[in-house]
Amino acid sequence: MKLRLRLLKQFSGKMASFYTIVVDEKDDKFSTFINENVKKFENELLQMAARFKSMGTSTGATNNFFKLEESANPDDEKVACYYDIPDKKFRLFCIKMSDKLIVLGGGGEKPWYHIKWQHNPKLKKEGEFIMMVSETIDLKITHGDLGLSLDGLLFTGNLKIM
Amino acid sequence: MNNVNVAESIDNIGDSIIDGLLNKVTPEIQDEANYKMKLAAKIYAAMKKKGWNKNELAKQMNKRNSVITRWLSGYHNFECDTIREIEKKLNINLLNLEEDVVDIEQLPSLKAASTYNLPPIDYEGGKVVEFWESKAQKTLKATNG
Repeated sequence: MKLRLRLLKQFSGKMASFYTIVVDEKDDKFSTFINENVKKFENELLQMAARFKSMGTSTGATNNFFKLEESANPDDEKVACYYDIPDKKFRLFCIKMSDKLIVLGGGGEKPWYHIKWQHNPKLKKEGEFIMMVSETIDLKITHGDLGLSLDGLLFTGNLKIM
Repeated sequence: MNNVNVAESIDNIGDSIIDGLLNKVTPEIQDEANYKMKLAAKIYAAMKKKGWNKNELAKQMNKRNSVITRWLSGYHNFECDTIREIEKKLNINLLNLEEDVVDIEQLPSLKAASTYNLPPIDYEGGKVVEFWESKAQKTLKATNG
């Protein structure tokens, strides 16, 4: 599997940047998430898209907008979730590098009877994927292969992470 | 280390899907989102300035933590009485959203780009210059002459 980070210019601005994860040069996690959920949750996705744009251009991606520390690895505090309010029908996994830099992963519907996302097979798969990407990004940063721009808004270096 | 390749991250895989969604975001939806997000960001910034977390604000306001989470989500429709009470507790003028309220912070694991001793990006040579030029970049350019 080949993975690459791609800037989502639609949401990115002077306050925060959003990236998606391109898989095998065919599709990317965020647009796949939209495709999978738009029929059932179009209104929720429109609200989410508008808010990502607000974060990118106006408020920044501050912690209050996310559910933090979703990783099974206690040392990895970057894995977070975005969810629709007030009904919390779905979860979108992301890596919150900072208040200025977010990597969007995949996600899906979270039925009420699954108390934790780990209980739902689709969410479990997406959650484990984003944890793996987060750890890979950490490794690449540690090795100096990937970094951040001086203003913290962009990744620099080799965006092919796998 | 490989060359800085910011421009490489800009291609069109998935763009049609994302653009298709964004085309349905009406100006009214975007305006409402912007307003509610700024309101939430202002409350959050004021909390941080006071050194309060969600628990502390919940205690001060005599509310459940989940209520504070909703207030801070950028989705909540506030009632006038609630706004007035938040303003009193946090000593802010919540409805003046033109004030610069955003308090951006970095997670401890990634404090600054300079930590990684990376070369600055040639924004002028990349496509990203079309999208924005932040204050930080301007400052950097001014510093470098």
